[in-house]
Formats: sequence, structure tokens, C-alpha cells
Amino acid sequence: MFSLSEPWFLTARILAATVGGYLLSMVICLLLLMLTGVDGRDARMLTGMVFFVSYLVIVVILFSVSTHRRAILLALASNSALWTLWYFMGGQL
Amino acid sequence: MKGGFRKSMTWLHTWSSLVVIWVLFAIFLTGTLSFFRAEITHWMTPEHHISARAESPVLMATSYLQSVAPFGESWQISLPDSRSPVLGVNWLAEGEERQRRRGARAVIDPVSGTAIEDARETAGGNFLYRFHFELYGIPRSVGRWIVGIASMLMFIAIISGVIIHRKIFADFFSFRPGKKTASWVDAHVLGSVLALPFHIMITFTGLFLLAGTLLFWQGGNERGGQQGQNANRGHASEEQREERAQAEKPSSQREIVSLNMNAIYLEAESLLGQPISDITISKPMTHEAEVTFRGSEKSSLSHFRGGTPEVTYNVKGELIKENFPAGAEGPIATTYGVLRSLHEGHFADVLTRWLLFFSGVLGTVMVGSGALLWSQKRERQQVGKPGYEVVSALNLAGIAGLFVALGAYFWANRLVPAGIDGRADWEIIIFFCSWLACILHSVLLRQRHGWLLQLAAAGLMFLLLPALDALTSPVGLVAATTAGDWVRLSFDFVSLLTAAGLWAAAYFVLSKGRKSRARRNSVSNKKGKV
Repeated sequence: MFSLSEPWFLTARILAATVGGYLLSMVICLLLLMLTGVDGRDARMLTGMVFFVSYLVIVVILFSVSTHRRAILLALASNSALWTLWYFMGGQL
Repeated sequence: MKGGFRKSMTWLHTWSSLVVIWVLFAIFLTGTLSFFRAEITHWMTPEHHISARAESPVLMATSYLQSVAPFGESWQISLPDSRSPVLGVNWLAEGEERQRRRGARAVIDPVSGTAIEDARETAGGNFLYRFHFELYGIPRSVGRWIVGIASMLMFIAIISGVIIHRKIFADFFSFRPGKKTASWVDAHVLGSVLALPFHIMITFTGLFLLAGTLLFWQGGNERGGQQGQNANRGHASEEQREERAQAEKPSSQREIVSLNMNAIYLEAESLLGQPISDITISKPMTHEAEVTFRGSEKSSLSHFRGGTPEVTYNVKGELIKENFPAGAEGPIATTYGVLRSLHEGHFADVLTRWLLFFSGVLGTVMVGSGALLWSQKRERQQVGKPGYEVVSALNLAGIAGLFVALGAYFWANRLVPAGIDGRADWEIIIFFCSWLACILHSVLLRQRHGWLLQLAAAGLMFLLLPALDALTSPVGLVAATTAGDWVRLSFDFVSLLTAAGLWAAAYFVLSKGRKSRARRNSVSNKKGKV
């Protein structure tokens, strides 16, 4: 499936899906909490329910994109966009 | 990825599961056994087998407590139920402060009405339960991280597995025995599809329960928000303790007052609308005595740790207090409660528990057959290569070796002397030593009938477990049947079923070996003729 010349790209794609996917799911949860106004114990429970489903969907999408380069760019672009949005909405960890 | 969507998903399915498949197999197998944690602990405490099914447990327990702590501060009676048929009592002696959690404890022998002495210390079902979500011998948080990552990979593998099957239900009805790779694919699909909703549910809810560890950035807590609830509960129970301490100040005068326990027991049971699981009597045998009856804590799917429904009577048999905890507040908390209950199976009656157990068995088959499928597909091209050999050795040690270790764990429970120090630890040490021996055997000698030997050894241990049980328990199997100790007998029955499965697998390996030898011989004969 992969030619020998692309192991680095493959590694980068796996990292984009795992680490990038984790960060993307994290910011999606943070934005969701911000928009719904849920906090405290309910916020932790809601995050637990939403995070893993969104992580799964992101990983599947990032592995379904046709090339490594596009998948890596997609992970970077979506993370940048959503973290920026979160920051300008007044987000704090 | 190049090669299209389905190929990409096939790659994702294969590698996301293979990386951690042996950890997943151990998690699935021990987690499946954890549905019967209390039952396994009962089997592993043979001294308690004699306690099965007392005829009037409440009267027996109260008369025992009258003899050991007539003027105790409080008594507590844990009644037998469908999961643990033993009658247990706890008490605080007169003037004794609540230093220990539940005071002195005893299990009652229903024949003599006295306490069963010298019951063995055992790791029981609790070891398997804790192992399935935090492993063993490493820091808990590290164990939870490993299990959490493995579960996430499993979640990805399940969903990508559904995506790659164009005809998932048509594939489910096809079984092609004797077709090598195709047979393994069919076995894998059968295990996966038959209980697919269970696999998705148990993996997702497992992740959800580990959210406190995996989602460390949310100002987390262990096991998804439990800490907050415990803090609230701790606060409430502190208040209750103070209240109780006030109520339990030594009375100026104590005189023996008997209670009509049978009558109030029946009334309490009808009021609670469910079987009573335990009874607490404060200031027993005095005019100030109060009897609190508690129902089963988690009999419904939507419970939310709101406490146990309970009713309290005074010494005259009048109802003085009732507490029916409200359900969860709000949709998020309700959903949380349902997801949590689904994973832990506390809500399940006997039949549902068995269904959960067999779904777990199918999940174990799915993971095991997936691991073997990987090797089977690559046998011709990659045999002898380091990657293939490592996977083959881990397959053998991770699947057959784990069954050997489990068998050794149950045998150790009966053969390690009952009175030695750290006995529970010895059971665990034997479990891991057996597993280590299987790993070494897999690495060094797997080519020499490795699967056959390990499967046969595990099969033999499970086959003989009922015999060992009969020989080492104070109650024989016939007497257990008469007494209706189905918890213990079910364990023995499942041991026999497991032995049958292991021996069938060993027979399959043996016949496969014979066929390949015959094929090799016929090929070499033909070459000789040419």
C-alpha cells in the first residue's frame, strides 16, 4: 500500500491523526462547553461522552484522505482554525 | 491513502488493532470474567460454601449477633442474594468507636449458627476486575493510560471493521470451514457481528469511564466525574455520622428488648418493592433500637449513585424514616448514569448478566481470531521474518498462555495453604509466573507443538477444576446441588465449557499439523518419483 520512499510521510500522518486528532477533539469539546455554557461536573461528563466519538471520527477522516500530504495539512489547518477561534472567543484552559 | 477509501480503512483496521491486540485480549477476557466478580470470589473462598442458603437468615444472624454483641453499638446483616449466597454480619461492640469501616465481621454457618472461622484470604474476582482496567504491578495511572489507549485503538478498529465490510450481514451467514484464511475471516466476522452493539457499547463506555485519566486537561478526576460525587457523598455521610454519633450517645439504661423482625422485614420488603440486601440495627436490644432495611442499590439502568433506597423502623415496628433517592438531575447526568451502568452491569439480573458474559466471550473470540488472522494471512510470505515470528510468539503467549495463567490462578487458590501470610499475593504471583513460563515457551519452543501443549495444559486444568473443587471444598458437589449453591456450580460448569473449547482448539491444531505433514510427504514423494 505504501512505497518505501514514504515512511516519513506515513509517520507524520499517523502523528497528525493521533496527536492532531487528540488536540482537535479537545478544542471541539472546549468550544462545545463554551457554546452550551455547561460547567462543573456536567462539563466533565459531557466532555467524556463527546471527546471519544469526535476523536474516532477525526481519525477515520484523516486516514480516508487520499494522500499523506493532504491529511497532514487538513490536521494542521483544522487545528489552527479551531484553536484560533477558541482563543478569540476568550478560551482559557 | 493511495488505493481508495476501503483499502485505507482496511489498513487502519489491521494496524490499529494489531499494535495492542494482546493487551486487548487480556482486557476483554478478564473484563468478561469481571461480570461475575462476586461469584468468582465466592468460588475462591471454599470455607464460605457451607454458608449457602440459610433457611431463615435474618433470625439466624440476629441470634448470632445477640450472642456475640448483645449490647453492641450497631449490627449489620448482609443477606444472601443471587450473586453471593453467604450470610455475613458486622457489628460494633459497646463503646467501640467507628474506627474500622464496618467493625468486626463474620460469615455465618447456617448449620451450626456460628461463625465460619479461618476462611482463606483470596485475591478472588477483584484481581481480575482491577486487572482489566489498570493492569497490575505498575502505577495505576500508567495502567489506566495503557488500557485507555488500547481501548481507543479498539474503538477505531471496530468502526473501521464495520466500514470495510460491504456485505456485513451477508458475510455473517457464511462459514467456510477448512478453508484456512477464509475460515478465520468467518470466525472473526461471526464473533464481531453477533454482538456488535455490545462491542461498541463496552468499548465506548470503557473509554468513558477512563476519561478522568485520558482527558487530563479537563481538571480531571479518576473515572469520569466520580470524585465530585464522592466528595458530595463524603460530605453527606459526615453529616450523617455526626447525627448518628449524637443519637448513639451511651444511654443511661439498657435493657433487653426483642424485636419482631419477621413482621417488619416483610413490611419493609413490600414498601421498598425489591429484595432487601442488608439490614442495620442501631442500639440493638434497647428501647432506642432502630432497624434500617436497604434494597439492592443498583437494580435499574438509570440509577445515578443517589444512594440506596431504605426504610427505618423503631422498636415498636413503626415506620419512622424512608429514603427513596431521586434519579439523576438533567439529561447529561442521566446519560452518564446509563452509560456507566451499561459497562459495569450492576443493573443486570441473572439472565442479563449471562447475556453480557457471552457477549464478552464473543468479543474475546473477535480479538483472538483477529490476531490469528493476521498471522494466517502472512504465513506463506513472511514465515521466518522477525516481525512475523514476534507476532506468532505473542499470539501463542497472549491467547493460550493467558488461559494457562488463569487455570493456574484457580488451582493456586485451592492448593496454596489457607493460613500463610500474603496468601492473596501468592495467587497473583502464580498467575504471572505461569504466564511468564508460557511466554518463554512461546519464544523458545513454539515450533515444537507450542499451541498444542499450551492449549492442552490449559484445557486439562479447567477440566479438572470441578474435581479439585469437590475435593477441597467442605461441601461436596452433590450437597451444593441440594443446597442450591448455583453460583459455585455455575463456575464449575463454565470451567468444563472452557475446557471443551480449549480441547477442541487443541484438536484443531493437531489435525491441522497432521494434514500439513501429509501434504509435505506427498509433495516430497512426487518429487522423488520425478
